[in-house]
Amino acid sequence: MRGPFRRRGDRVEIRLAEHEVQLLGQLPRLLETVGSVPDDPAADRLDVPVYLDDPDADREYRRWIRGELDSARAADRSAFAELVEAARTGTTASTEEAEAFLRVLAEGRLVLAARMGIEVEDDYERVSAPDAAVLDYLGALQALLIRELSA
Amino acid sequence: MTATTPVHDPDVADRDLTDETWKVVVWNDPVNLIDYVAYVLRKLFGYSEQKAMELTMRVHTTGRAVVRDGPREQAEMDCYRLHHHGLWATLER
Repeated sequence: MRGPFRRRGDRVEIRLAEHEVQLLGQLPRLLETVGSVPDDPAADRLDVPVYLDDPDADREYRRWIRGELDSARAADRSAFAELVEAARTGTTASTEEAEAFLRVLAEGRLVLAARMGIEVEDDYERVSAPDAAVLDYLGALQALLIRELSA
Repeated sequence: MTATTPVHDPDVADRDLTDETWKVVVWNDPVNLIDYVAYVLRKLFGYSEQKAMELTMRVHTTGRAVVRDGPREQAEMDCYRLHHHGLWATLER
């Protein structure tokens, strides 16, 4: 079985089928919705407290870091969107770009899982088969990309 | 792998002699994959494959693990980088 990623020297070749481009192309737009809907569990998962016993220190830290984190995540989404589009005909990514791709896959799984109500491992048993399949697919892509990045 | 950041940066330590050592804790979550967490720890802190996997399995089996320690400024930056990768990290003394 041939995976969508292949190490080429210090770069990673990415080639995706049309249906994968269509599916993965939705991920950046999905991630942009985090925080824009009320009571979004995904927003809580992506903005976790750092100082558990010190609310003041935690507020200060998160105020300081929020902009940085938002910018870094937006840059990852842009890199991901460009790579997915280019992967339709085949493209190569630098290690940094491939890692941005990896982070968006991870963020996508976190956001989807949070909105599916997954908080502990046992919650997977309550998830519908199609929902579980999406998480599994994104996870499989992560595993394949990590393998090439580690080669 | 990119270059590693020194665990104890002398410049940071000299600047803040009264600062205590802060622990960076990664917590288990039911979504991130074991291979991904281990990859992130290798990547961010320059750990060997074995050390990264040991820490990851400690997170997975006990619920949490201290993955690094150092001055507050460095620990906060570590936390930021872990959050950027989607890991659930907190700080404690």
